[in-house]
Amino acid sequence: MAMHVIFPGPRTMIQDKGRLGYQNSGFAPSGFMDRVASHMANVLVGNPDSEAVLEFCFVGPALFFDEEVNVAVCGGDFGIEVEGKKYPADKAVHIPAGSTVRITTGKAGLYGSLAVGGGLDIPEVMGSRSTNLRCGIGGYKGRILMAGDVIRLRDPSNGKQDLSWRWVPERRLVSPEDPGITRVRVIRGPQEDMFTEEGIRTFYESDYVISSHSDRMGFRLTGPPVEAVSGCDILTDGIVNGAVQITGTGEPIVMMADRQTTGGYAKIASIINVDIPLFAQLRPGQMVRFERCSMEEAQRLIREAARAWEQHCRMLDESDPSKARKVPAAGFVLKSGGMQSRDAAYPVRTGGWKNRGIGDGRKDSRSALWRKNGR
Amino acid sequence: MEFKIVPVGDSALTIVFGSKIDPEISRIVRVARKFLAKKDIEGVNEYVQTYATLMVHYRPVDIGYHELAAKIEEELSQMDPEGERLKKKTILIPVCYGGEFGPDLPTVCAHAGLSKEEVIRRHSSVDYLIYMLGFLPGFVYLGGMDHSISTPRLKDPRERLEKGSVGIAGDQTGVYPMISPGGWQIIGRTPLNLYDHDREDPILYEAGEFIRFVPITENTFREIQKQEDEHSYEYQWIREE
Repeated sequence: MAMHVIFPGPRTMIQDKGRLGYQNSGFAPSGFMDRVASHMANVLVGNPDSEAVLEFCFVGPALFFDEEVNVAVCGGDFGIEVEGKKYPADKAVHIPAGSTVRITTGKAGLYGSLAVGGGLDIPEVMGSRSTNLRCGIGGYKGRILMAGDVIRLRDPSNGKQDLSWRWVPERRLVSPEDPGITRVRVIRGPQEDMFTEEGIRTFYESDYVISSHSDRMGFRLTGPPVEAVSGCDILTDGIVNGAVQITGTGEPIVMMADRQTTGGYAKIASIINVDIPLFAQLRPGQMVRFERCSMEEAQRLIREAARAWEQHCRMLDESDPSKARKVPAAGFVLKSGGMQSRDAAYPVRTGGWKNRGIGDGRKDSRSALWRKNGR
Repeated sequence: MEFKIVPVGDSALTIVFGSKIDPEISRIVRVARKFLAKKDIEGVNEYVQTYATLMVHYRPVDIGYHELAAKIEEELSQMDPEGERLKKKTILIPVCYGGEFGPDLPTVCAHAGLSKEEVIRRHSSVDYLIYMLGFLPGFVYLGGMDHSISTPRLKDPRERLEKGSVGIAGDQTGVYPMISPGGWQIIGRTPLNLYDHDREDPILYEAGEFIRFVPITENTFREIQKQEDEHSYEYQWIREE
């Protein structure tokens, strides 16, 4: 009843929604780098969306499962190989007991989230299973995974279910081979007035390259320096996910999941919440251009995304074929089955969903969804 | 009491009470943090106190910026910063100064032109105000160090400072809750686990409280360290009546 790590990959670790509520004591919140991918992978294998996943960076792990289970990988352009047979990402893949699973890396994206059906038996530390490498807490023994690590599965019955019908909306990531520059929307930062007009123009009109000195703590960008009026030092204040700081050299650093809670550099902008997962998927060498967005618009986008995701989860729940057989009447609304989210930014709320009347019976509605998704 | 509220990204806002390091501003920030935390405002995740600001992390799916800012403004208008005077609370942190625990104590003595005993006396005779925590879990930004023992940082930062290292950097003093690289002049070490995720309060203190360093011998250091490992050490507090 366990997952055995054969090859860990360079930076594979356990992450969930993050360790919330301890920033005032100096704890980084940690958590998913690509929240959307992690939520999707979890929902594909029937987990609550903020369940802990294996997060890997660029190179995925090789794992051996001694029990049958469903897994799914989302995020960058990755693939799954089970005993040499290839399966696509963004789908639940049934792993027979005693098989080896390998992850292949494709053309786009940096972070992958591998969800295991029923969840991993990892203790919560201060309310979260997220690994905090700096403190050596959370995840598997507070560290990145190593060959030989064994993690037990929490629900051995997950492998008995057929989850291959579940699907998630398609996402398109910009590959380094694409000619385009990724546009990332930002809100005016709290210290924008510390920069000259020329500096602000530089920031919004230049292409910045993701530096190889980037990690879960922050992404460094190289490009034209942003001119400050007189230095970038401020009286230390709080830092948010996606905050764009300008350091003494004038180059931007974007603060990510393992960021420090407070800092003394001026923040020219903040990446909007719905664009952070896409930004996190940019590989070193890829280019980014910042675009202004209003705070009100950013909040509207958050609500819209949360609503769409909530609806999608409801729809999956209601088209569950194992439940459908028990429901003879058309249009009967099933109670949600454990799709509650504990994620802070995107709680999946159960209220407010209306039966949209797709199809007549459960089975038909499912095929309607399949057609809609084009698969 | 004056303050202004500014949005920071789409999921946080900052309440700005001032723009300098000042015990009175810090006190107001702390009173506001405690006051607002009690109100249990729907949609708020957490409050983060810094020198002169209070950052509020919230969920925009539950409350929009303008609604939350109005709510905070209304709540704070009800707050009496004088009526909410919080009692002084000081934690005693035992420190073994000098020797292998404080390799830079001679540097600090030479820079200050003072004897070892006098530097230790000046360092341990102040109640330091915890302005804020940040950088590392439990890392304190303290105020109130005697200027006569100020010493510049090391030119070459050390790759590894041991957990509990007590140091001086310019006008600042502080203690490293965990192993970390750092450029501070290390003058001693505490045997306390300033951070322990198994403890009910992983961090012993919070912004607005005080720290007093208490000199101990190497034998006492070992003794307390043993008690800490067994979770039997009783933390020493001085509480204002």
